[in-house]
Amino acid sequence: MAAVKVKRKDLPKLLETAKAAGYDVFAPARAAEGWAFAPYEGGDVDLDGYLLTTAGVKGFALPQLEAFLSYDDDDGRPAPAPEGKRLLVGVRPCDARALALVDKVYRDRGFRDPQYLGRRDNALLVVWGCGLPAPTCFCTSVGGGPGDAYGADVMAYEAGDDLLLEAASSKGEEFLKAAKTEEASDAGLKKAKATYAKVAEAMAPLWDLAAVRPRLYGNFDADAWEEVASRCVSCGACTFVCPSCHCFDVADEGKHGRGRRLRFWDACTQSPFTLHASGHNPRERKAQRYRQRVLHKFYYFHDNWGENLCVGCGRCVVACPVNVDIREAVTLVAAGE
Amino acid sequence: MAQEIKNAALAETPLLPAPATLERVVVETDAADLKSFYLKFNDGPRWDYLPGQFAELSLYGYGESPIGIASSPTEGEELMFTVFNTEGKVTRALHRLAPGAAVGIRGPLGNTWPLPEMRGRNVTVIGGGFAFTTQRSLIKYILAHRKDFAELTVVYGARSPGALLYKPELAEWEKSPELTLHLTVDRGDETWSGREGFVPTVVEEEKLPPDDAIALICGPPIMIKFTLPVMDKLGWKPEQIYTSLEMRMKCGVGMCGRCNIGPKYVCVDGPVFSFEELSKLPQEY
Repeated sequence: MAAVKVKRKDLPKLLETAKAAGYDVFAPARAAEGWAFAPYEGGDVDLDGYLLTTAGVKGFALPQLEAFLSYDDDDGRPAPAPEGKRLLVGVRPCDARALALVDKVYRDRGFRDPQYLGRRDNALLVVWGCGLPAPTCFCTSVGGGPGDAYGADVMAYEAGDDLLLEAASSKGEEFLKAAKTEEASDAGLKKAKATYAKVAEAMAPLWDLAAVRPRLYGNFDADAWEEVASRCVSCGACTFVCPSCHCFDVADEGKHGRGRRLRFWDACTQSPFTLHASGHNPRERKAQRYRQRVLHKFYYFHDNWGENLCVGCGRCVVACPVNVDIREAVTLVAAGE
Repeated sequence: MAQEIKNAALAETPLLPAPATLERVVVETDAADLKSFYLKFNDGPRWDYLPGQFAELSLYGYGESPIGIASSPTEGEELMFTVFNTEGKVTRALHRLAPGAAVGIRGPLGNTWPLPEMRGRNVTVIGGGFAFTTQRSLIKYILAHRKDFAELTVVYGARSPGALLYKPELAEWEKSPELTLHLTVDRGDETWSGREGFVPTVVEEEKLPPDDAIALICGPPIMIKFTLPVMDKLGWKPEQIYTSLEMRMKCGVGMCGRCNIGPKYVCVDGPVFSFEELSKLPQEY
């Protein structure tokens, strides 16, 4: 795959080129709370102090709330497929990985979601390697890493005053070709990657998941689930900040026969999620629901797709109002009988 | 993990209902809490289906409900759904509809009764209450392909005579040489001259034989709970017995994430499972 070199200070030039090529460009910016992706208005892309955006990039493909069809009496029309190319620069490897995992659900099973895929296929992710992970980061424990290219279109590595950009998908390849910049040397690229490998080394995996995974499932009925979920208040914050939580609810909104059918993020940690019309609820207790969240991330999804659905970004650890920590939960349950 | 989807439109626009029209409504039970809805697609037949599958019925302004398909593909273009009025938004609104009303259908969804395993073998259908709907689809299907299957035995029970579904058909089946029907009600009334008793008891008294047979059991959890030990005593193996599960669902296509039992999604991996398969899953349903 192609790799190019630009001066870090010339990144704006590259982004302007992308804009000229029809991309809406988004970059991390300081927001009221932490960081958020915002439309790039030109000028230096200042990532000083940036690690993760609060909300990640999931919403760019799967908005928190969207109308997927509208109806007028009995006539239903699908929402138009999203158009418009978007380039996101400064995406972290964990967030790109998360989107690639959600793709499996919305594309790879065979049912193709036009709204999700329209946005996904029109997005170009320029993924920024992580030089300084937070104490809540654990990507190396779940298959990712600070220089992981899974789900990226272009990987960006900082190397002194230079920025090395390597294509990680055919879309990324095309983009870099059009950018017409200096080619990066193999040696330079290797050296830049080595610095991220060093960062990864300092993040020793918390578990050997191949061993832990069957223990989590094997301990399905363990009391430890009650213990780890005892503080949980079923607020759903962990699922809303999670870059790979893909579940949604559906509701019709309208008046006098006209309206929209909406889908919006939902949370398996909340009781109505599985409540039957009969009143029966297979996951009535919060320990059952927290177990569902952990096993979906670490066992069920892996059983179906061969990957963990947790990307180790640590957002749920940060967002939880009562300090439930999914890392501790996995460790504790796996350690049980 | 990818699966074969026979309805191309569903594969490309999985959440878009196909417009259909309500042709007629049949009130099935004395309490009128179950009605059968006969629907026809507005633009001609849309897709093929097999017994055991379900569809999402959509009413704009109310939402969607996943309902088993009670008709058999051998019965022609009309699709039939027998729906219990749960007093939820969608089923309540459905129950108020008159012929001519517009209803959206998304389907066919889910897997089917295990037809390949059943071909050439004896088929035993054990149903209780209003869970009989996709079993009716199967019985009609077998009767239309009678030579492909060996003996067909049906046990069907309801709380009262007035709670039995498809009464005119049951009367036909009782006389038919093509199948053996054991009808029972928990408690009869002045109209009832048939059997009284619970489904597990009937299964035990009739000594339903497991030889070269597949059983399909659907009904209230309590009925299934007491029937399975009886079948075990009669020599049935878990891999011979299938059931169809219900879960809260939204999308029906494995995306919305709420109908899983362990790693299996009832909407795409089910709703039909053998008890052998279920024995390997968490008891969380």
